[in-house]
Parts: sequence; structure tokens; C-alpha cells
Amino acid sequence: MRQSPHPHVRRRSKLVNLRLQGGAAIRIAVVVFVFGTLIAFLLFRDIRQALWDASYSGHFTFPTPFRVVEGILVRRLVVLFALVFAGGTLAFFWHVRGIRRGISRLVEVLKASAMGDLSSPVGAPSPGGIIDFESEIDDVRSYTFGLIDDVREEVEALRTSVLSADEFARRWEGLKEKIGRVSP
Amino acid sequence: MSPTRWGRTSPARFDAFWRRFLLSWLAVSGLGTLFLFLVLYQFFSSPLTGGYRSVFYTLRHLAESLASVVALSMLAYVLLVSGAAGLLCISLLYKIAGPIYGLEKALENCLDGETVKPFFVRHGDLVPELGAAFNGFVGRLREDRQRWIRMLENADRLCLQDRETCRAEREKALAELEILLSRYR
Repeated sequence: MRQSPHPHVRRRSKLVNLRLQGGAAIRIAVVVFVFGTLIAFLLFRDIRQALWDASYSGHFTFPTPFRVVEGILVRRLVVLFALVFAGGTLAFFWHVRGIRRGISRLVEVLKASAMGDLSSPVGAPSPGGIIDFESEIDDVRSYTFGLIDDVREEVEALRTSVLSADEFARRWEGLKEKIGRVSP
Repeated sequence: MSPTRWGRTSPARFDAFWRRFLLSWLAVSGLGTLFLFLVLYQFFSSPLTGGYRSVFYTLRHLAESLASVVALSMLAYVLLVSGAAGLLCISLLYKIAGPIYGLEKALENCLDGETVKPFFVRHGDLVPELGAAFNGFVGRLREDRQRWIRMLENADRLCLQDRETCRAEREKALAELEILLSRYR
């Protein structure tokens, strides 16, 4: 049977990154709040007017006031549904787009690092700072570059210095040890 | 390990992600609106009885208390829909946040000088390219390190001959190593 390259391991908690996961929820909540407030105001204004008009008309024959406000209520709620659905979708899409952009940039940096570029800075943080571990990646690259630089300096010293056979042998072993520290 | 072992996120997986979001969000916003409708329907369903005077006062009373009812029902709607959106975001985005969290841990291990294990994405995770890129970086570094060590060990093997050959071979190995190291900048 073919084995999947993705081990099926359940995570204990689904909330692992508050900024990444909570950020989308906050954006959507803002959309819901803004459109909700707008529609609440319009609902209040139009329904109150309709109730006043009905109260003045004198010959009101409906069994409940719902018949007076039905049209306004349905229209406004349909608009609210459409605005919240579209706005929430856009907010989520925008958030995921920011995440994907940040990840693409980090992938590029890691690929460049694999090709030997360990010193170019990662660059500006992703839009909205959703992906915010650029500094960790930079630290790992600097740390690796430092280790490689140590090896390079030792190689240069061994090549250029005039050393006795014993000293050369001792530093040769030291060089091997330094190489062993690169990528544990 | 091949750096492109898992490649990019498959479009099918992303389609499924978006489909799940759109369906869930449609259900959440639809149910929220239905809830709001039911609350307001209940409020406006009090029967109108009596003559003109009674109906007039009932309608005026409804108009007066409308502000608080609309405000409270809208507040409940906002809380309900936002809460559901929060749960939906946490549940859907953990497929991206999970691998990122794992990678952060791997980077910390790297900085602590601990053994760096290959970074695996879990079933259904959405950013396999990030894991692949990290594994590619670490894999390439390890390949290079092994090549450098092999080069030094080859020179060591020739040290079983005379001292002059040993020194010459080691210096040759150092020259080659210097060229290989120049790739890193």
C-alpha cells in the first residue's frame, strides 16, 4: 500500500497562532459590526416612519403590525445578509491573500538560502504582519552563515599560515569539528 | 531529501478550502439573518385589538420602543455571527497556522543547536511548499557538509603514505574546500 507523505497526526489545540487565526475573525467581526450598525439604523428609521404613518392612517385593518413593516424588514435583512456575506468573504480572502504572500516570500528566501545566499535580508514584513517569523529565519541564516564563516576562516588560516606539522594536524582536526557543527 | 518533495499546495486542496469556507460562511450569515428576522417578527407579532385609539397607541408604543429592540437584536446578531466567524476562522486557518507553528519550532531547534529533523506537513495542511523549502535548505546544507567532510577524509586516507604527500593532499583539499565554501555569501 502506498504510504502518504503527510502523516495523519491530530493537533491537540486548533488555536495555535492568535494573530493568524484571530486576525481573520476580527476582520470579519468588524465587517459584521459596521454593516449591522448601518442596517440597524436604516431599519429603525424606516420602520419607525412606517409605524407612525400607519398610526395616522386611521383605518388599520391588519391583525398584527408585522404586515406594516414586513416589506421593509425583509428588504433590509436581505441587504444585510448580502453585505455581511460579501464583506466577510472579502475580508477572509484578503487575510488569506496576505498569508499566502508572506509564505511565498519566505519560500523564496529559503530557496535562495539553499542556493547559498545567507546574507540578503528577508525584507519587509508581510502585509499586516500576519506572517511574523522573518526574524527567526534571519537568525537561522545568520547563525548558519556564522558557522560557515568560521570554517572559511579556518581554511584560509590553514592555507596561508606557516604551521608546524603538529600544529597543522591539530587545526585540521579542529576544522573537521567546525564543519560537523554546520547543520546538526 | 528533495526540496520539492511536496511541491506547491494543490489547487484541488485550495478549492476544497474555499468551498468549505463559502458554504460555512453562507450558513452562518444566513442563520444569523434568520435569527434577526425571527426576533423582529416576534416583536411585531403582538395582535392589534380594539378600536382606532387602541391601535394608534399600540403602534406609537412600538415605534417608541423600537430603538432598544433593534439595537439589542442587532447586538445579539453581531455577537452570534462574529463568534461563529471566529470558530470558523480558527478551524479553517489551523491548516495554515499549524505548519507555520511547526516550522517556528524547527527554527528554534536549529538555533539551539539541536538535531534538525525533516519538517513534515500533516494531512490536509495547506502550505507544503514552506516545509519543502525549509527541508530543501537544511538538506542542501547537510549534503554540502557531508561533501566537505568526505573531502577532508579522502585527504586523510592519503596520509598513510609519506608526510609530504599527506601535507600536499590536505592543502589540495583545502583549496577545493575554499572554492566550495565561496558559494555561501
